[in-house]
Amino acid sequence: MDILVNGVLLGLGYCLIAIGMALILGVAKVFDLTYAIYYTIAPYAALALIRTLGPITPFWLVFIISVGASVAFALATHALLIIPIQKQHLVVFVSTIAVGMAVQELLIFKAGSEPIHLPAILKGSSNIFGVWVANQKLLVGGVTASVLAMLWVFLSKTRLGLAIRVTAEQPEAMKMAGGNIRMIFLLTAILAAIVAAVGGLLLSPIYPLHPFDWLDLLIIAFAVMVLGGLGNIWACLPAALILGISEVAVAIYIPFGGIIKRTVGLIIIFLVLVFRPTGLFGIKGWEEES
Amino acid sequence: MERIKKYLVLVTVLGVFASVAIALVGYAQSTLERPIIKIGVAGPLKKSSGIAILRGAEMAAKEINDGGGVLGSKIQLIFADTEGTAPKATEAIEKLCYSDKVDTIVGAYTSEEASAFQEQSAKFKINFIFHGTTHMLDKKYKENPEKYKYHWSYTASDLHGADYVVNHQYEIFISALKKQLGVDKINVAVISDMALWTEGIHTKSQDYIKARPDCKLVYVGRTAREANDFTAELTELRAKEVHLIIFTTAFSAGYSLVRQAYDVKIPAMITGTNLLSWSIDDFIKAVGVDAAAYNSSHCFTTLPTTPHTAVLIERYKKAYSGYPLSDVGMTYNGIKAYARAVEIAKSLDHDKVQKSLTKVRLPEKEVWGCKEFWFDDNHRVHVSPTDGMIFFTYQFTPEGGVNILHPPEYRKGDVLVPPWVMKQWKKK
Amino acid sequence: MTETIRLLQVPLNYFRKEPIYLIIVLFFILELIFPFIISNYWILRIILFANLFVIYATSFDLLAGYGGIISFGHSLFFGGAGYLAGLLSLNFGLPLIVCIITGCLFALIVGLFLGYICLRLKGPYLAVVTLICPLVVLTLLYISPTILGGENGIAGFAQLAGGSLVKQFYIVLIVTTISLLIISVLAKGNFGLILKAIREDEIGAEAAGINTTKYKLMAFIVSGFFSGISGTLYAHIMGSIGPTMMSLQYGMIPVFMVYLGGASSIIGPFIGAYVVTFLDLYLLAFPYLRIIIYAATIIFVLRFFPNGLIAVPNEIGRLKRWLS
Repeated sequence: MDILVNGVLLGLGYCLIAIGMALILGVAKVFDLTYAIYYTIAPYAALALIRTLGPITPFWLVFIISVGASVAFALATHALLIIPIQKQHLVVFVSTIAVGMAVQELLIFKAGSEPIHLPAILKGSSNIFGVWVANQKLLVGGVTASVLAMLWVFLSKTRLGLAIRVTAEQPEAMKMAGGNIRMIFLLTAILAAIVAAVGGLLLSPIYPLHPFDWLDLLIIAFAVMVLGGLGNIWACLPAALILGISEVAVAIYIPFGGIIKRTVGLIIIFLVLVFRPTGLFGIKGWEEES
Repeated sequence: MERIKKYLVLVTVLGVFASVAIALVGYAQSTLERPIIKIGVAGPLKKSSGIAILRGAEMAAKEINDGGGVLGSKIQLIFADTEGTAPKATEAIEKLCYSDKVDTIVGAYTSEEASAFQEQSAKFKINFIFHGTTHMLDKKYKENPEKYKYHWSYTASDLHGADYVVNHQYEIFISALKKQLGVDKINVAVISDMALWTEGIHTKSQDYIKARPDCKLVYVGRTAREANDFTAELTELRAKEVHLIIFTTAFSAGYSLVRQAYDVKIPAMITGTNLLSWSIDDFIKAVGVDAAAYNSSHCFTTLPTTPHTAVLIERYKKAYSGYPLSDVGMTYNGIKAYARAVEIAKSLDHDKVQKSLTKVRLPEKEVWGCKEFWFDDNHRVHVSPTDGMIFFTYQFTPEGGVNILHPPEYRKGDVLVPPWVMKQWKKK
Repeated sequence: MTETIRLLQVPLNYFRKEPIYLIIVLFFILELIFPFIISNYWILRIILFANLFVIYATSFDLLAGYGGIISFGHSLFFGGAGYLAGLLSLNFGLPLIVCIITGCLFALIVGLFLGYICLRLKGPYLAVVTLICPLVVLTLLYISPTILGGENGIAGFAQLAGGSLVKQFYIVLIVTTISLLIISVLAKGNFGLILKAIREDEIGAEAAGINTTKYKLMAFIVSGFFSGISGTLYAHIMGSIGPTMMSLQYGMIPVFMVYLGGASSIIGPFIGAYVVTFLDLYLLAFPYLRIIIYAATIIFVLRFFPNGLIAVPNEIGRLKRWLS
């Protein structure tokens, strides 16, 4: 029972992390490795805000400004760096890693390499099916569910959502219909950054954030996406749940489990890519380009 | 016109004589080979421990220079970042030795670099005065004293730490829990991170608990240094009804476990060796007063055990605003020891200084956290509450303060047991 | 007299066709006298490491530039070989040359395995799989602190040439030159040609009768072997190795070097290796700025010169037009 509850909550958190990247991957077809930086920037910005403006700052203001910081960074990266060289996947890969490394060093320079701790929004803990969990984790679960719901409504019911879906599956058709692809890509980046920033702000009270955690986050996001199927946003949820539950199970039952946990994700990526590259639910809108 | 020229010549000649005289006097005052002593400071300068190493060195250098320097020569510090990894540490040392040509090197932090440094000291035949806790360094020195004689350690070894916790610290908490909860048998968990220096403590703690009839070892675990998710471990600990968690770590796992244990209100006390709690302020800031409360660890140099340590802590707080990490005291002591050795040797020659380092004895009024500072046969600082570096056990209070629980002569207050632990286990 | 001139023209013609060999030879001769003209040992040491990374980067380029197989996990060869050599030297006291050769053979075998796994993978899938392979091995390292050194690595094994910088310099120089020559022969000859054909159109190559599997595997093996050489030498010059040698950082190093300098050439990785090594080590005094300058350089170069620094002369014309 412990495994189930903790695993599901962990998986929901992972889902939140992965969705944004799946969006970018599915629509813009690029591996934007600075994605994890969008997650990282928001908590650091929040901390800086709280430090300069004092602890009495209204919480929602800090939240919005921090998310805004992430969005600004994402826009800058995509507009200046990624979109111009979008077709050269490898260069994007390498450049975004370089950006990530640079931001990491900047953060270490400004804030030290010790982990940061944000105050939790929901303090205390509750008893779910006999298992004690921190309330913040429940908040994360709730937020993930609502984000998924909102995304579904947006993508299937609105015109803008339709535009995004068309661009994802048939970019040529979009161009011919006179749509502004560049805007769509930037919009996707904004959405992804918002999701990532929210994830960062909600998850860092529970799991202390180091400036170099972005690589771990990328691995998690990759594992979820690969398992579900690259570019397939909805597959992220079941894939993330599977990942979360298996990690918790490994941590409890296997010696050195605490350390091997992260390898579970790696092994999943490995096995899936080698034996079933399309993932569990198939790839959506991502052709086998090389 | 002739007169002016003559005056000019006279003034110039006088000026030259004066400069030569001043130079000679200055040179005569510095009886060492060089007027500037270059001390390299190597460490993970981007981490807080590295910054502490830096500041400790700065504090010592400033005090020595303000007091006239070492036999007239001033100390100059040259920094090199090791990033906490062995390859970069090696490069940092190479740069300091080849390019900057330093006279000695203080600093370092992790066990990964410590071994590399010991090798470098042998290769360059430079005295290194270092923070290498792993007892492997002592072992290697004993096996080959001639090769490694240039390597000195200003911290206690992990074996010192292991001996201390096993002989003094755990007893305090086991007996307090037995008394205040009214139970006969204490369930103990031993968790350590995966660094080299925790090996000794990890095994010795387990053996100690297993040997005690009033304790039961119910859980043993190792964690990654920067682990940030202890949900699984905490769930198991709760299932195994643990009363006391012995937690040994030097990295951010020390924040995560404490915070998450508090989040789920685990009914157990946490003690052991949590290096992160050595900086009182930072720890409370990181995990919050409520989560920090009731945690305990042992340490050396950060709390005012000796009166002079209190003075130095105040001096540090004034200069740098914030509470000092233990590394501050460590490098401070290291540089003071080197300066004294140079004074004894009256030279900067590495071999002469090497011999003098064995003779260095710094009194309480000149060092952090020691009754007296000197190097023992293993080229390591002598640890003892009577004539060496003092280990002490301390506990955080719910008000955000700290109580010293051991050694008895510094003890303030009794062991505090968290209310939720009492509620869970206290026999009615 | 005319006879000698005629004889001399043969190698000169050859060099004209493939100037790379001349460049390698000139490089070797030039660097021979470095220890005598460069008195700052630190700079000499930087050049030593630059040469070492030239091997690493060029071996990567053989696979990535020529073969189009971009693996982000070359640190598996580099660090793996280094670890094996170090472990053998520390625990069994085997003579250095045995350790180094064993390390390289190990890298070779690992290359075979990795190549086999990656046969059917392409593009991003390949990148991700190769990226995570060394990470998985790293976890193995972390859980065995006593045998494999865990997070602290291992130290104290024998150093190359007893630690003498000058001797090390010459050994590395000789190894680098020989490696460059071998890789050049392979790359500029039939092997390289076939790899390029496979890179451009694998199906077409198969149709033309080329055994793509064999060549891809061979590329992996050769690449792994030379990466192993640089790894073992690196370990023995440092005298200590840590898990960082197998981390993403060291896996990205050859990528940066090759794409900075220019892929699918021998000079490209060479330039990239020198630029990156100098940036990295020279800026050691400024811990924060270092990585920022490092990353900024890479981003800048890749953004405006996607073909690397060797293409700069060509790109300048394009840049001039872009500016005006």
